[in-house]
Amino acid sequence: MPRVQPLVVSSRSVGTLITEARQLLNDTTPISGAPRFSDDQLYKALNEGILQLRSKRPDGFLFYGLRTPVPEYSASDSATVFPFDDQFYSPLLFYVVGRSELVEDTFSESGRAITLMNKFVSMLNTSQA
Amino acid sequence: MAGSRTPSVPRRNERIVNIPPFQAGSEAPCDLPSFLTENPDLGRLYDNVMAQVPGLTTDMCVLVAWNTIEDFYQRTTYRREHVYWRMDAGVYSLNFDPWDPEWRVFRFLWYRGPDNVKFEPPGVLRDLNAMPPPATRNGEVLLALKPKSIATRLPYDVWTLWFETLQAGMMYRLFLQPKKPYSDIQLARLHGAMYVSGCAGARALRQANSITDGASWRFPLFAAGRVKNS
Repeated sequence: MPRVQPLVVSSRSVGTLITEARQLLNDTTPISGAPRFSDDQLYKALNEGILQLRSKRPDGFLFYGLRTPVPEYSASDSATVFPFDDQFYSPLLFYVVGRSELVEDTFSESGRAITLMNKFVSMLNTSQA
Repeated sequence: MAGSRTPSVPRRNERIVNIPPFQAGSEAPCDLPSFLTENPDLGRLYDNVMAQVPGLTTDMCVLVAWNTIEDFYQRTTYRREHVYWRMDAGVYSLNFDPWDPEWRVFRFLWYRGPDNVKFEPPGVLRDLNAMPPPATRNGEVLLALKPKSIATRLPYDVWTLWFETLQAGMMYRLFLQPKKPYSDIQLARLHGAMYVSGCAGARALRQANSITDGASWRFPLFAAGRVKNS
């Protein structure tokens, strides 16, 4: 069944974004037998980021559909192609990392979290000269 | 109406093949988003506005679209119907509204017929010559129509000729709203001017019976106080 596709299809997947986020969080090697952040937590952060993206940059959803439900991903969707333009990959990556760092635990660094969350907003909203 | 034009949503775990959306030849055409289809109409308007205005909800978009479309028809009197009417003996009024299930009359533009009649908005013509019951009367009337609701399908010429005007009308109404992420008085002024100008053009075209070459009218040389080739 042919369907809507973006003009430029990303070579990245949703899974690679989560993997990169885990690298930035220094959470690839389990410290105590299990990673600090579960896949479920990171995908929830990604879904939140997509909601923010929908609000701040609706043009990113033109081919996905502006009047359709915002996509929601889970760990079983790791092979799904990143559904937006490549320029939104880094902001979403920063959002996932920053959002995860907001969690209150021993290893969290709130300063970094705020920096990354602000970076997410500025990358989406600031016009570049 | 919006729902019927909603593009299909990619399924999860489905690998997207890198095929351009504009296909040629024998391959099945891609299911294009509504703003790229051959008859995009309202879906194209929604997509254009929603993609440009961050934080805009679909409900607000539809609300503003309907306000704009209704206002466009009222400002431009874009749909006009010339009616030859007959009022039989013993009948004192004619009601032209609603025109049909999709369109409503909102004003009279021109009238020819007996004197001493009253026009009751939006579409009632009342003969005040009550006694004695007059004989059959005839006349003509030019009516201005507007769509009944957002569900009324507008003709192709509105979408192709006045798409930018309708878009400017929506943007102007959105930017003018207070305390929204998209509030912007300067852009509201700009789009408002584009909208009003477009409405004037649409009205002029309709008044010219849709037969113009589209060129703006210029003062002749003598009226501008210059001689030819000066």
